[in-house]
Amino acid sequence: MDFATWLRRWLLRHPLKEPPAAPRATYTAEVMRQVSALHVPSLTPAPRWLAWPRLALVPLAAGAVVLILVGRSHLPGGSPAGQITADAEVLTALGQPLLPEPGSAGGLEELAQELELADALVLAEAPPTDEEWVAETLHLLEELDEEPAAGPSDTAVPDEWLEELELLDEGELGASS
Amino acid sequence: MADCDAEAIRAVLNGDAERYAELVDRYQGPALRLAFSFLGNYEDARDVSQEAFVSAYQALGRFRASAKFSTWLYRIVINECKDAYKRRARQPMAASGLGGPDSEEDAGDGLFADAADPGAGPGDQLVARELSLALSAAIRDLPAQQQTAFFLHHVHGLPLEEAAGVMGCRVGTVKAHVFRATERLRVRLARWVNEEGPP
Repeated sequence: MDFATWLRRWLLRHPLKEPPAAPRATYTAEVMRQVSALHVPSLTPAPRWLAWPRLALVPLAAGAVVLILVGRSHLPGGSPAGQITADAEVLTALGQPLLPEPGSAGGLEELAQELELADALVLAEAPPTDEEWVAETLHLLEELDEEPAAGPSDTAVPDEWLEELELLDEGELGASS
Repeated sequence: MADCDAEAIRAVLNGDAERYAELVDRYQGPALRLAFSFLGNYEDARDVSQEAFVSAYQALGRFRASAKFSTWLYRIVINECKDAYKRRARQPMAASGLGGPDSEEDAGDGLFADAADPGAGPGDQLVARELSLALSAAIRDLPAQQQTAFFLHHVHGLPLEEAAGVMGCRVGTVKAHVFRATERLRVRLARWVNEEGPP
């Protein structure tokens, strides 16, 4: 038999002691005598400070959500569609034309020329390709009467190259000045 | 019962204060026994439970019909018992009772009645009496929440849900308190427990 069962059985056989015999009416009369000296209680509504914050928070929260959404749509870093719309509004306000009409061939040709010109500028500023860099390096090595490196695993040679290339650059700079 | 309570409460709130006597008459027994289990003597328990009824009357306007009047009243009784404890603690030579020392000798006559077993011999009755004192003292030494949960559920037979309502906590919390209280009592009463069952 586990202890809980043992305890329950014991409590059933030994209930709480009974109060000393006293008329129930006396007890009630004593309470009612004290109660009669008091004001009659009346129903009190739920405290308003419990109810109003919740009601006030609902429109506040809704307003905050609307403000956030409106604010996000007007931010410069908003969605691309929003940016295009905003740019279009600015261009319209400045009296500038928007994108060329799909049917106007002249506008498209101008746009294509501008794009080619921009590409040409970008290509002119582009760094040399790997092939060009290798050709220049080989040319410099020929001038120095050096053999190209045996392979990528040879780590000592590139350091020597760099030193010699730096010396060569300094010599060229000195000669030109 | 709940409908009768609600009707009496409505009448009192509408100005018929005399109807409160119905509630006092109906719940004085449980309120008195509950206070006795905490305080250990019926003289104090009577005063404290009557104060609880007066407090309940004063606060009746805040009572919500969704709750049971008995649950609400028991909570007030327990709070009044705690206040009585505090008053006792402030008195240097306080009367003996549940606020007393730990020893079993100071437990008074114990909380529990002697078994009404006509066949029990004097030896059995003595053992039962000693066990009653030991159990009363062990319950007195429980932490307050465990003591309350144990009294409400095991001694007064309240379902766990109602005990949780009285204590203002979850049912699981009451279960945990009752379990821990039982474990503590098991340790304290180890020498009394045997396979033959309780005396």
